[in-house]
Amino acid sequence: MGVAAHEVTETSSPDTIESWDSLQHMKLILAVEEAFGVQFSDRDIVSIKDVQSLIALLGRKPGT
Amino acid sequence: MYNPYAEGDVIYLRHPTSQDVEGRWHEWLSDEDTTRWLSQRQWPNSVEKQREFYESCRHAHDRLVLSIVDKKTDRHIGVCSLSAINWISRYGDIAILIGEAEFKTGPYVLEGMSLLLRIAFDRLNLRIVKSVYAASNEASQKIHDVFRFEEVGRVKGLIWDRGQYVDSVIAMLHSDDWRARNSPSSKSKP
Repeated sequence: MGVAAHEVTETSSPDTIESWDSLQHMKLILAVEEAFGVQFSDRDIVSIKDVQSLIALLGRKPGT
Repeated sequence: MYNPYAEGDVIYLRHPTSQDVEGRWHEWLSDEDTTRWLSQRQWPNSVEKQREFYESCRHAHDRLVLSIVDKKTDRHIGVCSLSAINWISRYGDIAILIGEAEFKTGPYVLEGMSLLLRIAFDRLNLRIVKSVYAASNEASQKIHDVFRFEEVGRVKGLIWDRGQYVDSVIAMLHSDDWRARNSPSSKSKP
């Protein structure tokens, strides 16, 4: 998304990061699946709205 | 909500209405950017053509067309479909289009795809959902990746896209794979 890592916080979302569009959102989902070795269900995918919901989702996944 | 067929968090899907036809639906299918990736929509659309399509949908048994509606505003924002359904072999082609510009970002397309896949596999008992898209359509490629479609074929240089010929990608999702990923016990990769 062209955003420095230190600028991303738990409150970051498409509302706070201008480049966070649908395409970047899907790239983020795929990158997180790859990095954490998890596979999201359709329900999981729909639940990801921002960094906070992504962290919460990962917290519910075993092995992460 | 009016006549919901499937409901998500931010959208619901319902049978198209004559009000949808009289609204902006036909305009989406004339818009250059929106129709860039649609193989059958190179000619300008009209409300009359949209009405014909709507009438054809009402009696089609090999095609399910649903309007995508924003729950908050009850506004018709897009359309999705399962078409060319073969009830013997139980497969069909999936497509989704968000027409209203302000809804092209955000969760709408992902939720629409999720709802439509559930309809395909749980309600219609399809076995395979197929899709064909231009290789230059990065957003389409990513949404198929996110929902774990598998690329099963590629026709080299079939599609003319803004000055170049690009590959046509054929992707499919099997109901067994979808169920495995969406079952409560499926939490992580093996």
